[in-house]
Amino acid sequence: MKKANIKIIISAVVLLLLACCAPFIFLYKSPQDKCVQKWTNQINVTDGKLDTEKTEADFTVSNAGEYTICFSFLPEAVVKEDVMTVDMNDIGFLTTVVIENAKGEIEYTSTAGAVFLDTTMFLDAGTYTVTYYYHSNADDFKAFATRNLCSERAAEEIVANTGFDAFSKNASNTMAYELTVFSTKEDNTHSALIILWAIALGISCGMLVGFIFRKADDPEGKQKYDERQKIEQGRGYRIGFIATMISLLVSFILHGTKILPAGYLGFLVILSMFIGASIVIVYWIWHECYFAINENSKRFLIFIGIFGIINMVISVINIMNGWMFENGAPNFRCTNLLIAVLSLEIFIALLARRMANKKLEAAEEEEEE
Amino acid sequence: MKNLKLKAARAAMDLSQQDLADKVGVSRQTINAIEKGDYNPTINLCRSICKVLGRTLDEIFWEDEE
Repeated sequence: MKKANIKIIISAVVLLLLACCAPFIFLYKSPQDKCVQKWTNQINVTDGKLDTEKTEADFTVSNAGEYTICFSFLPEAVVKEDVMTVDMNDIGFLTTVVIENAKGEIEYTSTAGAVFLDTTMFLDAGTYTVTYYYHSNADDFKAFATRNLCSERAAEEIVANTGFDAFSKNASNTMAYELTVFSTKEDNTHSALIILWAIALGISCGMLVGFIFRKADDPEGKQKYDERQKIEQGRGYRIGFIATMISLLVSFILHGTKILPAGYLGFLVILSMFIGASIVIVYWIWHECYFAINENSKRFLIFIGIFGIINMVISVINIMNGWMFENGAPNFRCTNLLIAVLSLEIFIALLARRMANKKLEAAEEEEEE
Repeated sequence: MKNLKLKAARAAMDLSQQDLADKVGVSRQTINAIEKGDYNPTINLCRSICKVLGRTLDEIFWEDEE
């Protein structure tokens, strides 16, 4: 069997296996991911008094470790589009969230302006109670604060910033609660698993398409590079390697001197790889050793142009929606932008080389005449 | 230094750079680079070129002393 056919079969089998893994990857849920509780309660304001003092929910942690706990509590009347702009002052009364362990010891407390809270903390195995306390007025809250759930100064500030205007009239609020507890380790593992799977799928898909194109271009497998091309390829590799090393060095200096936040290191490493790759490819294109002898570059030119535009569109969507940054640092989605830049760079280099060749050929023809 | 002897020998046989490249199994750009003096071919490629052009190595690749 020909080498090209074996490559196509192997990459197709890998792609098929990865595709078959999709249901398992996406249906896999770590046990703690399932720890989501939702409930509602009614809060009535009558003559400036709340009829509900508190509401609570329990959750159990089976293994000791670091957990992220997300709280969401807001009036049902708030439309979803407005959720992010709502704060406690809009609701008109204060809420304090307290997490206590089975012994009644306080693990976490927050009286914050946001209706969405999340915290990451170490929890021992056991059952915990989350209690949402409501404060009907400033004095009530200050009295509550004497339980050392927040400092006196913080209590003063919170009271000063809260209107308590829910008590100006009789009203009724239905509050919707959502409590999610998940292990950061398991969450990271799951995210990393999906990203790794997606990268492997993308690579195998790209390899399959590449091998098929290669096979269509050269069914007999006779394409080869001549001696000059091989020498130029070696030079290109050398320059690309040095460029990658310098880029990596600069990346680690930027990281070590804290000029850029720590989260940028991963991006800088990927960027260094792209810088090396782009230098090698552009060098090869310019020295006419990227394509084998008599290989037609037109189809590749069209392919790389379209590929670059698709990735650029994805990048623009990512940027516009703010999906490219996570915790103040670029995430894996920045790869689309780098691929787009690399593809368009190859496209421009190919076009420039073709134009330069046409000029040279015309000049040589004139000379020969 | 430009290899005008190669260019002349090729032209004498009415071969384009592409024709010569096809006959010796290299890219057109490699023949172009040799003629322009940008690339020094290996002895094997020199021999292939000489065979196709019906010349000796001296005739194509030996520099005349001025």
